[in-house]
Amino acid sequence: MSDDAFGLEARGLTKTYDEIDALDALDLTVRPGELVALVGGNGAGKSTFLRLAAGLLEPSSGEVLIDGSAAGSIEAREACSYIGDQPALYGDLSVREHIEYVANVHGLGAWPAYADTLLTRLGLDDRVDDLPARFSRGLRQKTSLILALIRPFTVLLVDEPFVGLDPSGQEALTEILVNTAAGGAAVITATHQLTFLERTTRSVVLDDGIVVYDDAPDLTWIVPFFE
Amino acid sequence: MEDQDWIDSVYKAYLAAIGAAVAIFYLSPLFGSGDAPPSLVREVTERGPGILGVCVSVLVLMGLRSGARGGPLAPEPADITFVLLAPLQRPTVLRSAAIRQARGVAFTGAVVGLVGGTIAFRRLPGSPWAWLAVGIGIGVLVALAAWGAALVASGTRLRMRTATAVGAVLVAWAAYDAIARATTSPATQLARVGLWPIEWSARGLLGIGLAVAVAALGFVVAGGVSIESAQRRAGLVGQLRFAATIQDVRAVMVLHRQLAQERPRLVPWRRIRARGAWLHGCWRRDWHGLARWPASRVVRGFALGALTGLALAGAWRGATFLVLVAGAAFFVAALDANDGLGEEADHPERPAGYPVPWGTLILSHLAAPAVVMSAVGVAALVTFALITTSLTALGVGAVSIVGATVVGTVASAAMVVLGAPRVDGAFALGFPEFAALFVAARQLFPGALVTAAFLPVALAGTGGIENGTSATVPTFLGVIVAAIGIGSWLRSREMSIS
Repeated sequence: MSDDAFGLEARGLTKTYDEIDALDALDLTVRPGELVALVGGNGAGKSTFLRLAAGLLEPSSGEVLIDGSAAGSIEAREACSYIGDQPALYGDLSVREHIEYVANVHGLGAWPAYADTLLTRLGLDDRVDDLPARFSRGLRQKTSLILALIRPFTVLLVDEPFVGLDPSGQEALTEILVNTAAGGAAVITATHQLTFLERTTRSVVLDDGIVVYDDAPDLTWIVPFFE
Repeated sequence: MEDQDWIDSVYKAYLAAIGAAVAIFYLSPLFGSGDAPPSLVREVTERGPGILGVCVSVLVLMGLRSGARGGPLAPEPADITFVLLAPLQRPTVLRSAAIRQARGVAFTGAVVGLVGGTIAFRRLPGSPWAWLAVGIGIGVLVALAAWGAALVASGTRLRMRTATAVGAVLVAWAAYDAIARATTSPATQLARVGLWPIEWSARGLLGIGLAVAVAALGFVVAGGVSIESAQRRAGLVGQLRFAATIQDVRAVMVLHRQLAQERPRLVPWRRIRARGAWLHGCWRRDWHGLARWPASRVVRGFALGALTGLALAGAWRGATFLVLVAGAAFFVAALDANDGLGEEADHPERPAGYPVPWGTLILSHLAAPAVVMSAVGVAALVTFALITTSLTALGVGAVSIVGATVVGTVASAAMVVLGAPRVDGAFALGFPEFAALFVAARQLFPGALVTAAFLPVALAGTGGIENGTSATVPTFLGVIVAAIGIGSWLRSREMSIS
């Protein structure tokens, strides 16, 4: 097991669906403090990679380590926070009750101080007693982001976080992700948002499940993969 | 809109014939054998129309409420986009859909009536052919009356409060008839038809006329159905059918709630302010959810409790088969109570990210439902005690209900966690017959355990009170052991969502 203060490490990661390789022997390491944009066209394997790293999918071969522990293990789940492309929220809880529950289940006590800051920055401070199940897509996405950010983590996996957000929300989220990486977390964000790439430390381009670019963001190289 | 597929109809008839045969085979023994004594025939003649009338009125109430939510028509999503939004006369299109649906409804009613008629002629006087004809006839009429009431409510855009009020008046009227042994309400008049083989009553003709009139009025106003309601129902009904087909009980519950527009309250009944996060926060989280239960779900919980007590009282007095009703009612209440765990199972991405093993989380979610089921159990026990008025009955009933509360909470949690049965796994047993048996056993086992907890009450009803009291403690211990076994199995569960 390599150390380098951990983060995320994928080795020979392959995921096959009905004989189609969504990911093909992918090797990728993301260290603490890095803000990595995972880019590529539709079906390139971005979401599959993030779901494998979150322990939501099982690899066909290879492995993903989160802070040195196998993805999906209790230790990895303590270290890794994941935000899916579809907000997963309980139908019977308000925003406040969601925050309380997630904080409790992570042993943080009832109300983490960071929650108030996030609610204000994402414009949800006046909706805290409402049911997110009845929110618009954008507001549900913001709730989902808050729940992923209030809990402790060292690796943050974010899948298409800008979809459905208004411009001010996109701006606030970009700042939050930049600050989170600056605070020492390994942040991996799958996105089609070109403006976000300029704020990242590194871009990884996937094409048919293979890494075809892994370096500092260079839009002239990357943009063709969006077409 | 789809055309009638005759192959499909023949297949449905084939399935209905099998279902009816199975129902007759298993239900007939529950009603005893041999000619009924004159006292029982007199009891059936006097009380039967009233009780049947209450059942009819409850079905009409359900129909009216369904109609107020946009039912019973459920066009396909594509039909809404390509047919109902096309420049066609909507009443014409919707009426033809209504006719097709009416055929299915009438057929279902006929099958249920056939089963009832077959059971009736085995014990009651009268020609078997008369019982069969009357059974089928009243089955069709009741089904069409309830369905017609729904169509009238949706076609006239009846508000839910009005629909509920009208239905409640009908139920109350029928209940008055049942208590006073009178025949004044429309539902009781229709119910009179059901006893024609042993007692002719011209009032039944009025009931038939009313049922036909309601169904006809439904056809007339069918064109007024709200396109918004139809669109909302369209996708949900399709999903509900699929969930029912694959026997995913939790999905059926959730989709049914959505169809019934049964949403969590925006403002909870009471804000949960208590501190503490024991059981990984699950205790507090589940009370947050329970505090947002809509009034209809709260009422349903207590009604199911009361129904359990009522059925147990019937079983205590010798109607053994009612123990199945008690078990089913209590188990459905337990499924409702396990909603916090259900939410976790509905959104597996969330618990998959928590640093708590899935099995531990499942057990942590059982505490709040156990409290809810205790309240339902109290409702059952109070109803049971009020009817039986015996200390022995109270003792046997109390121990049985406590056992059912424990095993019901755990077994319904297992049902929620298991989800739909995996047919591929069942077929690995080798023969399709084994697969069907495996799936049936898996789906019925949790509810059967709850019913087993009530066995002492049934034994007291059939074999004498001594039998019931002597079986009480062993049965209680048996179901507690079963609950512990299921709990241990739940604790060993691991999340599997890929």
